[in-house]
Amino acid sequence: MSNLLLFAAGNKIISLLISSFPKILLRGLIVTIPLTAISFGCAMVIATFVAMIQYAKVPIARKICQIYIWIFRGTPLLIQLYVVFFGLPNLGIMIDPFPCAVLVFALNEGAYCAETMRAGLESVPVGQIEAGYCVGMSYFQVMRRIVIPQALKAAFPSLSNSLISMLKDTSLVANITVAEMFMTTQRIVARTYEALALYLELAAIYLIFSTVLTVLQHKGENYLDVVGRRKKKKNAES
Amino acid sequence: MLKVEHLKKSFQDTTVLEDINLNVEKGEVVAVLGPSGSGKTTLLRCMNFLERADSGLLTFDGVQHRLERISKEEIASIRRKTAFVFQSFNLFANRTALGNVIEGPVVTGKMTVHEAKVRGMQLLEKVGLADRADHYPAELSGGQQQRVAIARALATDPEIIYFDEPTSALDPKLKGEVLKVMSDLATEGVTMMVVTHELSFARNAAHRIIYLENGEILEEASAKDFFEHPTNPKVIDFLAGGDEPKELETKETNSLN
Repeated sequence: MSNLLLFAAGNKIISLLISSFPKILLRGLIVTIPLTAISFGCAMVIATFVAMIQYAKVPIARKICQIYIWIFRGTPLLIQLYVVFFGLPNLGIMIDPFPCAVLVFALNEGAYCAETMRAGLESVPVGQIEAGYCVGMSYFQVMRRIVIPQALKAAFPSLSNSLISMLKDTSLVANITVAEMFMTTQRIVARTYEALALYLELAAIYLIFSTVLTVLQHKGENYLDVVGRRKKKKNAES
Repeated sequence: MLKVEHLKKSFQDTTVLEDINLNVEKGEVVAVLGPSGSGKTTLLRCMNFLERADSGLLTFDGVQHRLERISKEEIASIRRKTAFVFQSFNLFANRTALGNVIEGPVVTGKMTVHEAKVRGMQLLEKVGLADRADHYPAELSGGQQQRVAIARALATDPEIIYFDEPTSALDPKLKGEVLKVMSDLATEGVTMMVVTHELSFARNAAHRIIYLENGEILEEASAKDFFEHPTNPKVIDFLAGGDEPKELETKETNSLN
């Protein structure tokens, strides 16, 4: 008798998981993924500019960049979201939840990635830069053709890491009323009380997404030949 | 073609180059010799503004430039007509051998990518590396890298090529292949200014020798006179010491005695 009850309960959970899966996944596809992609794209633009300003040691702008990095790396992401979404309206600045999330993520991630990029830029030997000038390149040509490609290659693994981190951090935006995967799951839990099963399901979906990113990272590394495997292989063949 | 007058350069309080005067004629090969720390490399780097001289006059290709207030445009125009070969090769790691060679003519708009590739292959042929055209620098030996660097230097048809100790980072076997290419260029009438420790190269390939010590030019003579009838006692010392490493060894033994 008790076995039968347990079986019925198990059945109920399984059908709940099956019915909730597409709902959660859909929010992932239409909110989490676009939010991550757009924010990370903006973060890369910010990071590149900030890193280049620091790399080139532009007098005043460099200080401003340092202060920006200091603030965004030194305060919690969740509080940054709260300040912008719940705080700024006090000054009459109202931003919709999704753009607000993009803004905060781009600024936060930009601060971290700027440091990664700077390290990448500084890893390119000075001799190659001098050689660039000597074949007649301008500063920007040296940067675009020689330094940045090598810097990106060096920074690629760390940047991929940041991207995966950020994907998971998007769950925080449930706090500022963005209906992404976490919020959707919370709502289903509130209705069904199946917290354990549903949150495990949510975790599994995040795991699927980050697995895809990890695979892409490896493909990207191979393409860029980050670790120089292809060169070694070629040498071995010849 | 190249004329330097009263060039001065110091790093903080240390004077590295003191009132340097020299000239290089078209088609001439000038070797700059001297012990380590004499300022040879700094002098060469000042010619291409990798170091900025404190003062002096530089006449290049008939145009006179004041070194203490030379503009970015003047520097760019001089660099477009010169080339530099480094001790540590400094090939672009993200470009193949051919990619390195075509970079100069392409960025300066002298050639289309296609023209540059055709010319680039000819130059790689010339330095004996046509079969390595699609290899990355990391896949080449030091001697091969330096030969690619020489092909890269030739690609923009420079008026003069500066060589900064081009064989110092190479073992004796690889030195030979680089010196061979350089000797070929010398016979073809390419204008070269070469900072080197290779006395036999200087003797055989250079027309004129400039001897630098402690930031001053102590002797300037034709290669023949320099090696066969040296007048300055310091030059005689230097030549007696042979290669620089040997000279250093003698110094060390002396200090031990």
